[in-house]
Amino acid sequence: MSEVSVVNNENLLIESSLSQEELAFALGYVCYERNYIYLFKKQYGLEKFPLFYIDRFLGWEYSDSVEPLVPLSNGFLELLSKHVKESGETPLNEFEGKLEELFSLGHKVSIPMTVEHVDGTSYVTSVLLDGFDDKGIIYFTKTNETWNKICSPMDLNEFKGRLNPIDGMIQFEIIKYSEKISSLAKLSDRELANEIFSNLYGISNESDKFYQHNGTELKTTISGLTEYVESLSKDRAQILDKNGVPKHFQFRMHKHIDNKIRPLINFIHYVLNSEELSCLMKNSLREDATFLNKEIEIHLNNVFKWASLIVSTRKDDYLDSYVDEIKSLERVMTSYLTMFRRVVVSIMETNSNG
Amino acid sequence: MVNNLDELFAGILSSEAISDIKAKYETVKDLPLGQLGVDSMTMMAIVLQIEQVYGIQIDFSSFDIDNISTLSNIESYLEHYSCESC
Repeated sequence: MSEVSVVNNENLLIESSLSQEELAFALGYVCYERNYIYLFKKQYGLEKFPLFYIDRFLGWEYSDSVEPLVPLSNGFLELLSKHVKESGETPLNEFEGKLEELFSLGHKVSIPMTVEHVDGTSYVTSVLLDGFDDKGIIYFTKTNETWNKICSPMDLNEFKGRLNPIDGMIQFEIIKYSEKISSLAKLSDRELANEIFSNLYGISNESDKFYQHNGTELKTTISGLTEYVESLSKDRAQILDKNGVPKHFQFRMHKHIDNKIRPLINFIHYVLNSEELSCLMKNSLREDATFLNKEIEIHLNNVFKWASLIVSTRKDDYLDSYVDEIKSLERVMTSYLTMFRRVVVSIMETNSNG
Repeated sequence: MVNNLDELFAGILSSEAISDIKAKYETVKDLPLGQLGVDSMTMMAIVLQIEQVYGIQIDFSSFDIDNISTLSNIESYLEHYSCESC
């Protein structure tokens, strides 16, 4: 029987893919974050993933890239860099040897791979490598809307053909077993929220203002969303291309808006459903949070609806409706982020006082 | 609705995928359409097909995309729609 390297390491033995409910939750995040939802859940039993997004009330800056909204504070990424992952690269012809070395140390590997859409067009997405066997088969885990499978097998040579070397070098992330994440998984909601916010992300609050450890005040802005609205006029002709809406714009118009905002909805939803955290909030704030969370979710669903209609028809009218919906989202976002700040203040103040 | 799946998903899913769904309808009807192979960005194409197949006109501005998140939801939406119009 072929041996899959990863199965030898009990820290990394994962037996199941995400459930339907877990998958629906995971789809609200970017593909590279989904790898961590899966790992944190299955490897560490960490059920409190939304709390890692506690710093997202700061808003976003705009980017012309496929992800138009870049979080102004990404403590989660810094946490991963410090405690979980490190960058790696290897020449393509040394790929197997490098993988063997990493798997023998009990690590996993996250790597961008080219895959095909249902319509045959290709795109690059992040997959998690589980191991490879002595028959030249590599096993990987991918969690997206059409693919929720662990340890999918693929011929190693075919897999290598789907990698995207830069100057002959394959770049990837090495994901190490982390004692830090393991210890975080054991904390209560209150303890974890405090640990993430104050110690791991280094944010403090004083009189409803937030500061980094170096004393810089952290201010909320929705300028990223405002600039995105402006970009839609500039990109109009490209979006409505007669040959079909380019994938770059399809991703920008829905998926990468949704997966920057949905984690905030999940955070608020988590706090509201945590007895330990929601009791730290005033009734009026709980009501605001419930209302605004629903409001934002409706706007995101409408953004999805119009984006999908544009892709299917490329009609001007639908692009107008899409722009109107993004503007509505922008209008409600200021209140939403203010509410989010108040929720964080409630959790933190009471924690520090209590 | 099972009888109309070929028309509803024409150009969205392959004929093999549609046959597969028909064969396993009861077990897959509550799965998100994404897991049946539907690209999320073509979701509203299904609504356009519904308009054609059932000869109805849908008001997109008030349409809730959750209505088509699963086959069961599409079925309920169509039942509800026909009740409203009778």
